[in-house]
Amino acid sequence: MKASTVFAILIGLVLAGWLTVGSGYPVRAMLLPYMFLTPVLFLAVAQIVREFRDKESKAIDLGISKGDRRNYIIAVAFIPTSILLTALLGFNIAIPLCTLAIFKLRGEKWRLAIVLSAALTAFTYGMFTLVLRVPPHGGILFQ
Amino acid sequence: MADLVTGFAFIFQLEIFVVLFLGVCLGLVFGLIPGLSGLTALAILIPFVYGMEPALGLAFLMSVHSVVYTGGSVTAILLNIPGAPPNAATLIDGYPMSQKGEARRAIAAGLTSSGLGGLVGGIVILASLPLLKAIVFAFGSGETFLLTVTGICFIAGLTRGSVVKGLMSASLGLAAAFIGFHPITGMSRFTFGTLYLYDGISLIPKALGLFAIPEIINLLGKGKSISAVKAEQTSQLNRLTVGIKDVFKRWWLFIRCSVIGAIVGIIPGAGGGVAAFLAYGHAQQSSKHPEEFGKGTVEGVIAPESANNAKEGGALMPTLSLAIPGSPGMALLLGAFLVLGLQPGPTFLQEHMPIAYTIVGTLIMANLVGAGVCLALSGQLAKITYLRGTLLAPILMPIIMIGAYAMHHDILDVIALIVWGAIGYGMARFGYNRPAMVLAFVLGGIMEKYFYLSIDAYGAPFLLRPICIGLIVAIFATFALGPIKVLIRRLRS
Repeated sequence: MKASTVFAILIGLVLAGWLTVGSGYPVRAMLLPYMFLTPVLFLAVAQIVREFRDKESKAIDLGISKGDRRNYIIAVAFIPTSILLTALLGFNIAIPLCTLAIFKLRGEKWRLAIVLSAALTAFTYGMFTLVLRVPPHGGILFQ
Repeated sequence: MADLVTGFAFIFQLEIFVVLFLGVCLGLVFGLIPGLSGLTALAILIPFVYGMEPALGLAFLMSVHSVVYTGGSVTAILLNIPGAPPNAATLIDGYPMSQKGEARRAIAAGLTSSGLGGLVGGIVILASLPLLKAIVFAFGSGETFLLTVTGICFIAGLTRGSVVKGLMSASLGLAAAFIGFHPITGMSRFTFGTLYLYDGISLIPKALGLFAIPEIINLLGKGKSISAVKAEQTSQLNRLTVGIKDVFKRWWLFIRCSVIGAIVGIIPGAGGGVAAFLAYGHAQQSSKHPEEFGKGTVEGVIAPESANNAKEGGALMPTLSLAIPGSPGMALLLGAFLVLGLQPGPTFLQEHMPIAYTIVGTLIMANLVGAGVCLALSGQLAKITYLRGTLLAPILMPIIMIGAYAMHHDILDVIALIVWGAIGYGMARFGYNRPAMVLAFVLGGIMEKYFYLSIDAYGAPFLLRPICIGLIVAIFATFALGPIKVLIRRLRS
C-alpha cells in the first residue's frame, strides 16, 4: 500500500474516531463537530478510494537520493531523541549534548561543533532564562 | 483637527521616539524567535509600564505589538516557520521564493507591504472613525461566525491540486480545536482523561511542530542550504530595490489587501489569521496567473503582509472607542489601559482624543520604523538561506524546543512537538494544506463561541441576514469558481 494512502486512511480514522467518541456527548456539545466533520469524513472516504485507484504515488518529490537516506534516518531520529533527552535531562544538559552529537554525526569538524554548541547553549540560557525569566526545565531524572 | 496635530506632534518628542524604537527592537526580537508570540511579548512587558505616563507606556506597548508580525514574516519567508499564525499565509509563497534564491526580494516586498500596510490601516481607521460604530455593530455574532467559516474555506480552497485535501486539513485543525472544555456546556471533549488536554491544545507547539520540524528534517537530511541557488549566483531579481518596487508596481493589490485587513481588524474576534488568508485568497482569485500562487510569486507575499499590519489599526479602534478588543493582543492592551489609569469605552474618544491619535500615530510610526530596521538588516538575514542545512538545523532545534516550552513552562508542550512534527511531515509529503490546519485550529474556538451565541440569540434565521447571505455566497463561490472557470475554458475551446 502506498504511504499516501496510509496517511489518508489515518486522517479518515481520526475523523471517524472523533465522531464516534463524540456520539456519547450531549448534542449541544457535538453540534458543530457533526456539522463540519461529517461531510469531510465522506470526502476523506472519497480521497481514500481515489488513492487506492491511483497506482502511482502522489507523494511530493523531496529529492531524497539514495545517498541521502542515511542522513534522513539520522534527521528523523534526531528530533524525538533530542526532545526525549531534554525531557529527561533538562535543557541545560540536553542542548549542548544533542547539538554536539548532531554536528558530529553530520560530519562537522570538532572545533566548529564545540564552538557552535557552546554559543547556542549560552544564547538560549541568556535569552530565555536570564532575560525572559523562563524557568528552564530541570529534567525528569533530577526532579 | 487640533487634537490630531497635538496627538501626532507628541510622537516626535525625543522620549517617545526612544521608547518607540526600543519597543520596535524588542517586538522584532520576539517576532524573529520562533515560538515567542506577540501575546508573550505583551504579557511579559505590561508590568514594566506600570507607573509610566499613559501616552509613553502605550506608545511602548503599541510599538512592541505592531511589529511582532513584521518579524514573524521574516522567519516565515526564510525558514518556513511562521512567527505567528497570520504569518502562515506569507510562507506559502515567501518560502518558495527563498528556495529560488529570491529571499531578499521576498523580504523587501513583505516588509514594504507590511510597513505601508500599517500606514494604510491607520489612515483607513482615522477616516472611518465616524462610521466605526455602524461597522462594529453590523457584524454581530452570526456574521463573525460566518466570517471565520469564510476564512477557513478560502484557505482550504486554495490547496494546490486537491480541494478535498484542503478540506481534510482544515477539518483536522477543527478536530484539534474541539479538544478540551466546551465553552457552552462546560464538559470536557476528546480529552480521554488526560489532564494535559483539559485546557485544549496549545497553539505554539502545534504550529512549530507542523512547520518547523519537517523543515529541520529536510535541512538535516539533505544537508544543503535553503536556497537552491548559490549566493554568488543569485539573479538580479534578488535585490532589495526589486522587492520594494514590486509593491509599488502592484499598488492596487496592496491597497485592496490593506483595506481588507483594516476592515477585518475592526470586527471583534475575527483575528489576524482571517485577514491574512482572506487577502491571500482575494489576491489569488483576482490574479491573471492564479496557477503561480504557491510556487513563489511575489503577489502571494504582498497580499497577506499588507493585510497583517493594516489589521492592527482596525483592531485598535473598537478597543479604544467601544472597549471591545478586536484581537487577543488587543485584549491584553485593554488590560494595559487599565494599568495606566485609562478607561477605554465610548467616552474615551471624547475625553482622551489626543492620546487616541498618539496611539494611532505610534502604530503607523512603529510599522514604518520596524520595516525600515528589518530592511536594513535584510541582507544579513537573507544570508541564513545560504547556510548549510547541517549547520542551521541543529541551531534551530533547541530554539524551537524552548519556544514551545516558554508559554506554559510545560515539558509536555515540548514532547507534543514529536506528534505535530510527524503530522506536519506527513502533510507536507503528501500535499495536504498545513496553513489551513493551523487557521482552522485558531478559528475553531471562536467559530464555536459565535455559533452558539447566534443560535441562542436568533435561532437558525440568523443565516438570512444580508451580510450572512453575502458571506455564504462567498463560501460557495470559493469552491464553485474554479470548476466554473474550467467549464467555461472547455466550452470556449
